[in-house]
Amino acid sequence: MQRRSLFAPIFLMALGAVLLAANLRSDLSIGLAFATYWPWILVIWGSFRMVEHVAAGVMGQRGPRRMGAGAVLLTIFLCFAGSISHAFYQSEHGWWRFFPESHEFFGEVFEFPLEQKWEVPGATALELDGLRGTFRVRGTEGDSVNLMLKRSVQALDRESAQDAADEVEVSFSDTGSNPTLAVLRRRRTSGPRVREDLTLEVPRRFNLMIRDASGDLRVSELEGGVKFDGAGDLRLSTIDGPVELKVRSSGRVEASDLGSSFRLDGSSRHVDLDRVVGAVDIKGNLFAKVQLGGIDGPTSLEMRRTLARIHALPGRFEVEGNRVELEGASGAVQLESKGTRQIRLNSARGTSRITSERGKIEIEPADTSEIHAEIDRGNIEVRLNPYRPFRLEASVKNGDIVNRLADDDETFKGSLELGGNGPDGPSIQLKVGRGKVTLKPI
Amino acid sequence: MPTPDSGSPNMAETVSYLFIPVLIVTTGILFLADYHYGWTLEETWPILLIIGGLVKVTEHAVRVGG
Repeated sequence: MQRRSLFAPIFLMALGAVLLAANLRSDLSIGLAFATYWPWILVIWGSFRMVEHVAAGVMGQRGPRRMGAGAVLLTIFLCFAGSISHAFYQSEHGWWRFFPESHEFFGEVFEFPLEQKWEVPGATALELDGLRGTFRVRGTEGDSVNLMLKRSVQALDRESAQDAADEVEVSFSDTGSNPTLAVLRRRRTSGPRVREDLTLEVPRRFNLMIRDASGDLRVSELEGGVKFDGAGDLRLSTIDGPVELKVRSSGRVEASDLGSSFRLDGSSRHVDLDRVVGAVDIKGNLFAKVQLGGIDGPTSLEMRRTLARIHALPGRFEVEGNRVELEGASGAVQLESKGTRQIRLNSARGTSRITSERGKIEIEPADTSEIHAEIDRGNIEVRLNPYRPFRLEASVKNGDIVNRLADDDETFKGSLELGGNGPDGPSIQLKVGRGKVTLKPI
Repeated sequence: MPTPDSGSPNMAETVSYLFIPVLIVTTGILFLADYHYGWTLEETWPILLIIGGLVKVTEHAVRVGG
């Protein structure tokens, strides 16, 4: 008699362990983890079955049953569910946004406010540990740290709500190198859930070090910098010092009016950065949409399929899905992309080097542009003013060069040189492996 | 060819058992390549046909050879 595969019970145990970890660690996002890593289920499942069959064959025993229509249907279902979850988590408008966290439909909401104040003369930094829920940190004049914590509990009676709220405590310590404020939670296995809404006013001169945080964080009006390590949505505004964010599974990171550098390492579906005086360095995965603009310092962006280095960005830079748009960059630009991309480069003032594997590159140069664009398989479209000077060299290994700048369309094979040798106007070099170069009038 | 309860399977049967697991593993790898390395499924899906064909060719070769 054929035996059953051991994969199902082992998978059940692994699933239990993962769900247990999610229950014990509130910063773990099962949905995001599934959306990112679900193909590993197929790889491990298939490998496991292969090993079982091969081992049975080698030992001369009967292996588990042949995988049949049920396995195929399950695979199709998993691919379908995984693709949908991946698409939604990559999307700015994830479906989970429509389901607020109110799981508890019964009972009444009780609120337990807590206000505390600590004097911190001479201190220049504050460490924050264990923040959850909604928390706002604002710089103010003065020498004190003011805390307002609103604990909301949905429960059937006030007594059980009070018990739950009492399990969230605030501890303040001024004995280490920096004052430390921590939100402590006693572990509960059941009972009503406590929602935390924390507002913190700190001396404006402070540097903030935020660790083990998850939720919705807003920081504003600080002369110091911000270091963050945690998960959740972040909104930063008017921060004079350097900002360093290490973010796990964030929905959104927004920052504006930063007086120094900005560094982001991690995963966020949406990154929006506006008006930064210093350097910008962003690297990580799962960026569904990145919007950058008004950056005075050098910008470096490393995503899964896109690498960009921009000397200065008074204009804007957007990456969403397969679309990459760069407008009004200043100085040297390096843009490399993998996979199929639709790249648009407008009014770059300086030397730009663009390389792409597949897709399309659209270029509208400024008068001072020097552009080198290369694509392995795809098209390059350049919009030029035919009445102004420019220099253009284009070569296509396998395909055509179509010049629509003249009165009648002209088609060339191989290479084409247009424009004078004078110093005025943009200089453009195009290389296409397999595809087409099109020159169009503005 | 052995029946399901006729004792140990031969090599060709073992290879034929691998057809669906191999395709499942390949599907997972193609999705991972799409998510993490920029090789989109719309470009790489024919690999499934190639791998499926290879398993069938191997099965045939083992049957003829064995």
